Amino acid sequence: MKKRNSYKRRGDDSKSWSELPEDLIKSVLERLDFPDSRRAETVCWSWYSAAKRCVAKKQQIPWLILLPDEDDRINNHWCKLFNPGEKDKLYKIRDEDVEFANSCCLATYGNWLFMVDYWYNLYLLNIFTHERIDLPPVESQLGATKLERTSKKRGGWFCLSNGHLKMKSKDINIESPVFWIDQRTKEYLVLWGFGKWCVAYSKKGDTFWNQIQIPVQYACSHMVYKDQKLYYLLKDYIGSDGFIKIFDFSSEIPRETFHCGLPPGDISSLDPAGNSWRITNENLVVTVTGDVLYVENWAARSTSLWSFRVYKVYSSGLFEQVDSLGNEAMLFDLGITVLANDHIVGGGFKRNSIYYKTACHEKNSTQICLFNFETKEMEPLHKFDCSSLKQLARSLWFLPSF
Amino acid sequence: MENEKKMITLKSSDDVTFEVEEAVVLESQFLSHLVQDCPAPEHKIKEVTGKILSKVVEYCEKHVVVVVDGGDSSSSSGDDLKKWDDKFIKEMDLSTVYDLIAAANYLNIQALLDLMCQRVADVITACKDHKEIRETLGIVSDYTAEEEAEVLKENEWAFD
Repeated sequence: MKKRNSYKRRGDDSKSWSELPEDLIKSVLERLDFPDSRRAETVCWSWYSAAKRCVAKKQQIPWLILLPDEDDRINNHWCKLFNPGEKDKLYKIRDEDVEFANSCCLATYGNWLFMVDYWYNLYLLNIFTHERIDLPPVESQLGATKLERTSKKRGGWFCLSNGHLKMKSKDINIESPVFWIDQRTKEYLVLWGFGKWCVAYSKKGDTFWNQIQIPVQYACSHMVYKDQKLYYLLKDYIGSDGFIKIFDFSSEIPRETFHCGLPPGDISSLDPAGNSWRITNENLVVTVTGDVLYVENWAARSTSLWSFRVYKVYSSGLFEQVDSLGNEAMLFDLGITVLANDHIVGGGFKRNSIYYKTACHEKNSTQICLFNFETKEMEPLHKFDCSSLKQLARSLWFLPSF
Repeated sequence: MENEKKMITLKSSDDVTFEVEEAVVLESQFLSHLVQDCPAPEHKIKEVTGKILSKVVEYCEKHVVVVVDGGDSSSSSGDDLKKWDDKFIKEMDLSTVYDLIAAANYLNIQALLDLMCQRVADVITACKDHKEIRETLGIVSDYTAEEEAEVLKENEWAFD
């Protein structure tokens, strides 16, 4: 690498932008929005390698990944990317080896997707480099819960058992899937809830799924994984009672480090006029700074009104209702917040707002909406030109990264 | 106070001298250490030419004045400063931007470095593809044909 004073040579042709010290190239590239940084890294080797070492100082805004419809044979190998900062265009990505129409994207982490195909093959996929990491077969379970595949047919049939219970099922619900992957070392940890049976998890090198057992009468309701910690919401069968646990995954065996109950459900302040409001969904959300939030999504019966109630969970186990997200925006489904002030690249994301998917039952469709936490008003994110009303239900946010 | 301002002389690699107030010099981490460690009235900066040093001094003088004057109405002076910065970079050719990036890095003036890097980022943003970026910045690709095809394939989606 050139020394710092290499610029001193005379004449314009000696000033080579490709020979700037790498930290200066990075300082330029880190200011670009995501598509521009991709175009810039194709300029020359030194820029490419600088881009690969960029740790974006400015956070990129989340994008939405749109998979084709389940029966869309024509676009089977294509998926589309929506950048809220460039609403007039959809980027298209083709991957010969992936049948997107026959697959579901379960979770995202950076540029990586946790995918499941029609045959219940689980794998991680880098959407840009097309790198693929196959995960252990879904029936390779290590623990009290056994899973047997009873049919090799598409979709399959499964037999679930744990010594007390036995159940046959056509499908497995892979609930609240979450994962983490290190972009460089490809170390990873993938976790998903197996309803009332267990939480399954697998690390790089494992050939099976480890299990965390779930207390009887409870089911895994929502999970978030961040900074080697699993934040884990359990609800009982009726949904009236539940608790929050935190597991520390920094050592070989996960260790429970926190446990508390849930705040009492109180609908009075939402709608003093009546009691037609109900909770449709509860998620855990971990903020940029590591605060744990318990978030209730409320819907008013017979209207299309939505609301949210957000509690901060203290390490003492106490709750406090939160009335602002400040400069952050919440991705309700991902269970995270992102910075949405002026300093992030690209713009197009609104602070103090909650981004979520809503199912509209009359139209049998799904919308991506944002709820302004200050005005309590909701608006659709964008009018998508969808091939079907159900397509947006298969969409997911992801955080593009260098 | 007005009379007590300490003046310091900076001399460029090609012996152009600039007499500035000490406060101006303090904008640069490198120079403030230099001035502290070696309290001579004149400092030679062998790494920076007169042409570039004059730009650096112009930038630092402007930023010192505004920060000092700012006080109560910091937002309006912040706007003025931003306008001044915009004008400062708009009038500059890319060759000067290149030298100023190197100089700001050497002298450790973070705000100036940020401003210059942003200028280059804006130039890149205005280009429609990698070829136009190369042309604008005069970069010769060092990829082999295969490597270029591979990198392009990886980023194909970004070129619609």
